[in-house]
Amino acid sequence: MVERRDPCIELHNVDLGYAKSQALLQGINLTLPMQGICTLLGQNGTGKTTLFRSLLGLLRPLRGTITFDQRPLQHIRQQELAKLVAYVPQAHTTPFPYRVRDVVLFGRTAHMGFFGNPGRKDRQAVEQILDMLELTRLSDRIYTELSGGERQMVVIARALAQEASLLILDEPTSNLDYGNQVRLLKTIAKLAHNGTGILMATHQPDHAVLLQASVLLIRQGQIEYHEHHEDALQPEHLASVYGAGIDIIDVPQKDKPSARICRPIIA
Amino acid sequence: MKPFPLLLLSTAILLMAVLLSLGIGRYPVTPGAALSFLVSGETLDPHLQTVLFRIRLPRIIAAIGAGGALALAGAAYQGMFRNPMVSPDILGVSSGAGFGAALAILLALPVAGVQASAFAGGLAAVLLAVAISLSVKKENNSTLVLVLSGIIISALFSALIALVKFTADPENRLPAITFWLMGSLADIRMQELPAVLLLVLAGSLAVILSGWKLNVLSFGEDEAKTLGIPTTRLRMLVITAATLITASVIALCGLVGWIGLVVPHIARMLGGPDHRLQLPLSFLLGGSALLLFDTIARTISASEIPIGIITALAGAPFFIAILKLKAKQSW
Repeated sequence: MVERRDPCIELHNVDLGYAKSQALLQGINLTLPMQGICTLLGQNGTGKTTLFRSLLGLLRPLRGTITFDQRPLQHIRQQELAKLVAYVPQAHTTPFPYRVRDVVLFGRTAHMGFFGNPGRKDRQAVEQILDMLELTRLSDRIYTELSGGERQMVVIARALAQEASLLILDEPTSNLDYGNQVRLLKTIAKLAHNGTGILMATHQPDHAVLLQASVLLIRQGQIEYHEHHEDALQPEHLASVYGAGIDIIDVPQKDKPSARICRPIIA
Repeated sequence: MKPFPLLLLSTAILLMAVLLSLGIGRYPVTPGAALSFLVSGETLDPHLQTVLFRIRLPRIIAAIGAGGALALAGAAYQGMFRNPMVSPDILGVSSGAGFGAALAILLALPVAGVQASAFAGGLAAVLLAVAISLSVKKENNSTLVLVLSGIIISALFSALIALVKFTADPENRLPAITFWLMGSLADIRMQELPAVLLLVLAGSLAVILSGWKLNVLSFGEDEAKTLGIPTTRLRMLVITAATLITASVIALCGLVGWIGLVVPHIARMLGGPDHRLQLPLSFLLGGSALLLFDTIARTISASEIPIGIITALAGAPFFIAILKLKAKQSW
């Protein structure tokens, strides 16, 4: 009997980077589930965005193969891939002043034909997503005039409109104030709970604990997968990932299991 | 303004421009008579019939087709390159066509030969620019490489035009080349129109149907890909269509600048950034604009002024005004 496996992304002996002579990540073998939440931790410039771009089909691996649910990535058409993975890039803008509602509607493109236009169903889906993310009040605003935090939420709404199985987020909290960070993490937890897989780069190891996520650590051109954040968030692991001393502290709480916090050692 | 009334209004403006242009000239025609000619195709006066049908009508059709095509191609390129400074000749189609025409005039080819050569030159220049950009294999920023290739090719063909002018006989051929390069809609005959119109309509339709995808592409190549758009295929479709239509109208009426740069801005100001509206709107407004400018070009003085001069003279102050108006908003 054939074993029925959950859909996952597999990297077989993959080198990633922009030039053969200087691959950022080398000989990567990895199996990532397309469900639950996975956080990606690593220093600046170690290949987080490179990994994302490769998974999104924007950058071809220098060596090796990437498979989605056992299908090689290079055999999946762009439109089909967009139904598997959606991307939330770091805060960005467009030169043209579209309304928020239209920006989110762009997420439906993968579900239209080559000369296709959005239909009533697509518009309904957009309204539902705006409602779920509590963005309805923004829907007639001009996207280019929004604040960074609002734009980030709109791009997440656009990615959700794609109805992809996996959502890749590149440091989604980096431009947000504390309150917006919390709201965003709540949204992510809710999405994962509803069955969307989340792969998220972050500079806050705490996010892994808060989201009860699995962890990918990038160090020395290698990626390690830890299913439980407790295994990844060890002082010696984090020290070698970030090149800085980090304490892991368990804070006892009343009537609740103790909370685990990462705290950098400054002096 | 809502899309539908906006399109209706621009169609009405275009119709008024047609009536105006039919009526104005050495043999004036009242708007009523012009309208009845448009509807029935006949007038009471056989002499006037000749003027309207043989001279003014082909010219009007050519002006609408050329102005519309240039504005539409400009709008498509501005969206595709995510840059409001882009005009339809960004990939070298104008200088290529100019070289083709200049060479044909130098070789004393007949009008049809000059047109064919201009068309071929325009296509060749864009083909070269695309080939260069493809040979520079760069996974990101392919748009930038494409624009740079276009600039290089434009410069190359401008130099070749200068070379042809330099070798041309200054009594005869050189003025002919110079006049061609300034653009003119005079002497266009009915029988030259069907081939050009067919290309213009087919190309415009392909571009207009890609409007939604162009909207998505304005977020940049990478994001458009992750949203499911085969960006390379879309870009090639738009470049092919835009090149076919611009090369064919340039072959017909020479170099007419500014329409393709300025009109898309007006369309965006009126109708917003959605290409599904902006593209047809640009076509209608570009057609009206070139028709009005051409009517001015042929009536303002005893001898005709080349249309390229009029569009540039009117275009520059107009563009400055738009820049001032839009200084406080995003593009």
